[in-house]
Amino acid sequence: MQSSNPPLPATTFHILLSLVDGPAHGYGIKHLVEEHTGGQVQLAAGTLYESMQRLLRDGLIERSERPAGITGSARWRFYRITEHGSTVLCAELERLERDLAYARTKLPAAQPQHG
Amino acid sequence: MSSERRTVALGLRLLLAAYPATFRREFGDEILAFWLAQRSEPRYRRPLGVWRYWHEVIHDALTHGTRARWSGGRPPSLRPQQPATRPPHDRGFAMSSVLTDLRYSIRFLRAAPLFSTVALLTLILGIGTNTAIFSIVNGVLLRPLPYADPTELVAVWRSTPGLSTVSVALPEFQALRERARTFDSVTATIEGTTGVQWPGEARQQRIARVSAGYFDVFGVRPVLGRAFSAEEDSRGGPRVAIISGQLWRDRFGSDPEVLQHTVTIGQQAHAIVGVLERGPEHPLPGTDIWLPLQEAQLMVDLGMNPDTRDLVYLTVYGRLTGGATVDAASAEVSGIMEQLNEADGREIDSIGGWAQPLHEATVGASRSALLLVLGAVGLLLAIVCANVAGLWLTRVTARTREVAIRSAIGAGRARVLRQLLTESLVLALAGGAGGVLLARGLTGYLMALAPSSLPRHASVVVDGGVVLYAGLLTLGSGLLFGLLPALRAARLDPAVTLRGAGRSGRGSSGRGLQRALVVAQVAVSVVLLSGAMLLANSYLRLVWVDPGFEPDRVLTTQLSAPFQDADTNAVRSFYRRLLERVRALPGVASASITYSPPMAQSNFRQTVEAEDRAVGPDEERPWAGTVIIGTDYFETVGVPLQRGRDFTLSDRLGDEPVAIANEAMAALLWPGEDPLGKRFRITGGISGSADSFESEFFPDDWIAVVGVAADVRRRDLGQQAVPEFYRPHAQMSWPSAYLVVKAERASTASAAQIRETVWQIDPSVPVETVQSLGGLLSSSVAEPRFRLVLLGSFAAAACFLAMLGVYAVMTMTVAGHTHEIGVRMALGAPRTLVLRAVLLDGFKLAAWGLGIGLLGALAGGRLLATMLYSVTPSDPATHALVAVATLAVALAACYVPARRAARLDPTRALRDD
Repeated sequence: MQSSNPPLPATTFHILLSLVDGPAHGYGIKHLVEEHTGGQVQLAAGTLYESMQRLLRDGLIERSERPAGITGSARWRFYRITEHGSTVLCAELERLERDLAYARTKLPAAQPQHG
Repeated sequence: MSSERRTVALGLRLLLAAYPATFRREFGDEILAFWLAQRSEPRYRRPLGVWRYWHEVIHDALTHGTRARWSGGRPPSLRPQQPATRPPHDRGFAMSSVLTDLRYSIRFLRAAPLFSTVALLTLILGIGTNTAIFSIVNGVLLRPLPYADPTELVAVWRSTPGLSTVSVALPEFQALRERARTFDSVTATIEGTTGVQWPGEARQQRIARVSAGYFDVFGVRPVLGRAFSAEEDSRGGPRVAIISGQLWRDRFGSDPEVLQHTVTIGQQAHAIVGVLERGPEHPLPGTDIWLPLQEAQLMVDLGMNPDTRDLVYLTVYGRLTGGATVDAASAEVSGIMEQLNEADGREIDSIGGWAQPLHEATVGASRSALLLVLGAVGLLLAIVCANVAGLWLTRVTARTREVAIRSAIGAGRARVLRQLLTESLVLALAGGAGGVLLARGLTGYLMALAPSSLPRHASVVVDGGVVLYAGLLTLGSGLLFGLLPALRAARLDPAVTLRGAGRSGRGSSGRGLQRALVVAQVAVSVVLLSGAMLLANSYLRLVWVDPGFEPDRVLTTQLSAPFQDADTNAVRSFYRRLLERVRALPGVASASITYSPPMAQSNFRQTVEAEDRAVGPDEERPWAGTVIIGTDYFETVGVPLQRGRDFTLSDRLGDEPVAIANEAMAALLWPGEDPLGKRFRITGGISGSADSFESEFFPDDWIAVVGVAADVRRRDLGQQAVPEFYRPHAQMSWPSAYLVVKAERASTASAAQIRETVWQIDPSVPVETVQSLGGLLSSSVAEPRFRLVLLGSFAAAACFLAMLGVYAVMTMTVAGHTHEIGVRMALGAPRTLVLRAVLLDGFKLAAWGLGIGLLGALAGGRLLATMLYSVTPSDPATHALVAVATLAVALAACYVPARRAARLDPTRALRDD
């Protein structure tokens, strides 16, 4: 299934990536994504939860207990990446790497740019 | 939680409604928390940040919400719909795509100027009229009264069988003040206009006499000086006054030493003890001067006994104690009335009492009329939306090809839908802005036209709340007229549309919708039209009523003769000299005085008893009104004297009291008999009974009937004449009276002449406004006229729009059937047949609308029942007229497209196709 998966939408990819280090709530995910993309990806609530709904349905993420030591509004619910989610993410990384390696062979001048 | 935060949370909750319920249940709370948390981000903090925040949140909710709805609550497909990354300096996808939509919308609207202009003007009309009427409804009905804790305020009334809102007698007020526990404070007031002498001129000023509790009840304090003390409010207390801020500025130049001055009211100096800024609008809006009630000292001065329950003239207001309900207050008032009844030896339930919320008492009868008009403009807006939706549908249908291409190259349904909705919202916003401007002008115009009986004139303004209302209307109507066509367009199957080569008008479902919209428009306009016609019918009947007098060339003005110490000689002498001089003026045909000219002033009313017809103690005594008149009154006002004689100079005080009865009174007291020479007696009344007057005003003696005058419509044209009798001013020398002057020819007697003459006799007598009796008659129908003008113009606009709709849909039908018509004509169908077919088609639409509309009109007509004079809400003639007019106008609207169809050149029609 992994190999036949179409490329992950960028939003999905970033959400999954942000959950690798541990469970987070929606607003936390937004911040993590913003942080690791240097502010290039800003998720609106609608975009975020639309993707989350899909990820939950496909079993890539699941609801999680509130991690110990975190306080705050009871409204926040936490999410964590599932094993299946990690597999999909890894597959996506592999695909990206393959694509990237291929691109490099075609455009040797292209260096990763800071951005 | 701060109120701001609560408001924000409320707004966000509303936005959440964009999402389908399943999604809300799953993520609603989280999204809400997300949005709230987002607010504190630095980028939303600066002044513009608030705008950015709401823009983004609204956009977020609308795009994703509609998308979630579109996909039926299922997560959308995995196809990436938006680029998730953005160039660092872009203001964001959301913003740029909205801007694109906006740009595109404006380009689209400008590309079709005729369509845009018609749609825009229609929207301005709909939103503008609604906003204007709402600003009146808001000012009069919705805004709280301008007092502290206004819901605690009540008006207190006495009730007797058949009359529920009667003024209160002094002893009743005193009992209320002492015994009532549900009130924090109560106050009794008398309002009126009185002559005030300023240096160099005398003016009528609005005066309220108020008991000491007034300032507590309404929660006001003078800005300068103080309120009346209990001592000042006792009978025989000092002459003191509180003036309005307006008078303070106009007459005293805001002098801080004004408390050292006096104001001369009715020739007597009153010390100014306070200045009241923004004084209460009760009992009298625009009050200039407040005087202490002093336990009805006024009545004592007039030679009457105020300490009786037979004399009722006080308007009583109260402030409820915290927690007391209006019902509890009513029960207490009624209980106190019963105690008084018992103490007086009256039947225990002969006089009752109750409390009414002050807002209700103030707004009174205008409520139903205003709500009716609001309903009427609401219907007009519905037509406007249907009309613009019809136009919009035409445009969208014409663009099916474009929409199909856009969908085919991958614009999702939501994207197409959003683009179309943005277009309609842009148009609606322009319409809303224009509507608010129209409303500002229209509100001023309407208030100038509004009858003076419309309460709370001053609180009608186009303010933030009104603009908010206009904004909601704008959004609502934009969605209403944009959504149906947009949904239809977004549902189009691109493949089918493109194969159909986008020939205009072939989509039959679009035309079905359009025809339904036109039927709805005709139906609603028929409802409005028959309402307006009923009002017009009723209004015409009203103004064609014979008022019983001849108002042509009669001028009138209210005067108060100098009056002190119950000395009526001075009053008689003033009016005698005045009438002598006025009658001698060139151009004056005749002149007289009266306490109550028709349409201007209400009467004294009493119960009476005929001498030859004794009334048992339990029997209801008949009521009759008193009209005080001078000599020559009947000639001046043009009331025919049917029998007997007019009053003459020989009817004097001390002689036998005489009266002239009107026909209604003669018929009431002496049915079938000759009333001349009969005698009757006053036995009691609302404005006073024989016992309560120790003066000459209401004699105890038998009064002899010396003449019979024709009936006169007194208070308004819609009311039948009531039993009345005229009394000579010489025997009942009331100080205030109206001068009535009949000119020989139009404009030979002028207001200036009359004013001069009065001031020659006594410069301290104010002469305020000189009115024509015709003007009074006309303002007596101001209320029905106002309603008619409003409903009539809305109905006319509605009818026009509906017919525009008929015209548009028929034009499109003809255009869409060019091919078919061409074929038929090529096969030999005569032109008249084509003409008739198109006319019949349009006629069917109008007939459906008419049928539905008439049903609605019959159902809704009952709302008008109380406003109609001698017309029933289901009046067949009126409805028949509406039906004929609607069908005729509809046929006219169809004629142009029908003729175009009949003139088609078959060969060309077929070739073009």
